[in-house]
Amino acid sequence: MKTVKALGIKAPNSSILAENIIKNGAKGGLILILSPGSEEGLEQVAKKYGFTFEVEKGINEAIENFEGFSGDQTKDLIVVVKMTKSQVEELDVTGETCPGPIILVGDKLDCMTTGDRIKVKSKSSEAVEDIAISIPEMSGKVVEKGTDDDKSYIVVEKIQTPTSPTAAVNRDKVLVVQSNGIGNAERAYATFIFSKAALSMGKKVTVFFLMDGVSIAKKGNAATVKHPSFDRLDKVMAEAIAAGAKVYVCELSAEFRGIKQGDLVEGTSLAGAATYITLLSDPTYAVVNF
Amino acid sequence: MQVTYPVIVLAILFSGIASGFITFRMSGMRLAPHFGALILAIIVTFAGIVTGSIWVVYAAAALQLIAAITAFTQTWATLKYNFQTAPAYAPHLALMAMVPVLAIASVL
Repeated sequence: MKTVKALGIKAPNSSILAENIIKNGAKGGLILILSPGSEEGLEQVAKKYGFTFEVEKGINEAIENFEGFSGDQTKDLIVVVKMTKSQVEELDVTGETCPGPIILVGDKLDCMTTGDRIKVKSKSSEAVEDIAISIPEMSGKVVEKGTDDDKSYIVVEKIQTPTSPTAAVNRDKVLVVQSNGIGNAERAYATFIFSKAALSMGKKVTVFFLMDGVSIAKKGNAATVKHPSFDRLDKVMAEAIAAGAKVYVCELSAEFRGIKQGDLVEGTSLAGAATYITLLSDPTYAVVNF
Repeated sequence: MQVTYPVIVLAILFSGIASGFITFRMSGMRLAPHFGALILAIIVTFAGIVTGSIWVVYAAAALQLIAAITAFTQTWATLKYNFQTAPAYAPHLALMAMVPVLAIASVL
């Protein structure tokens, strides 16, 4: 933990200083030795970076050994501000199959109070990404993302439940749900032809392959579908992806069919039930089923 | 040469045209090789019954086998990954599954 002596600096400069120190490597915490009154506003900085905030007046063990401390400061002229990394509870969802991880996180968030944090980690980056997408719908926000050893993680903070929006929403996004796969060529083509049409109209398009639909995303499968009036399905799909369509493949349906992330065509990624529900719940999406 | 088995195969192949047409429309051009073999098999089977030539019947049996095999090879990906839509292919595949047995019986 870094200890910095900044006697004489006034608020809000003390907050700016603290923020700069944290940004420049004091991720584990910070002890500031300040003049009385300079601690004002530091609580917000601590909250912003997920630190606990503690103020002590006078000299203590934390600063006695600090080399910059001259010892001539009297007890009432010093304020010690401790900003330490709060203990974040960890939840490892490795090995849980969809929708297990999101249910575990949801249960945990229900028991937390506003401001509490939890670190969710898993060996499956898709599972973590799935949770990260859904967190805003669950009274939480992602404050940190990263990897620890071979596990991906996110740190989630519980936030106050947002009130339901009453204002009109602009439905400028399209969710295309495909659940028939290569067994129904017409529906398979329609998925990407409609997607391309929506993209050309300036809409944001997300395609979600569900149940039989996941067969389209398996490498080589789309290339077997051809109608005389259209390009081969894999080419139409590649065009839609290149034009900006985001393609998700239901993790559960893929698991049912023995399909792994490595079996999927480029531009598609596995996603859990939480992602699907989040997309469906988003009022800015118009949903089309094929 | 007895014509019972070739006639039964011919009837099944004709039925296959009906069930196969519906399947063909669902799957697209992927089934084109199968339908090519199926139509050829019908023509040659009919020719075998009319002419009574054992060599034509042999040729018909070979085409019948090809028609049956291609029905499965061309729908393999669908059968493997499509649990909900694969049943729509079942009537045609069930008919095609009968063909190899009768093809062998017709040349014995």
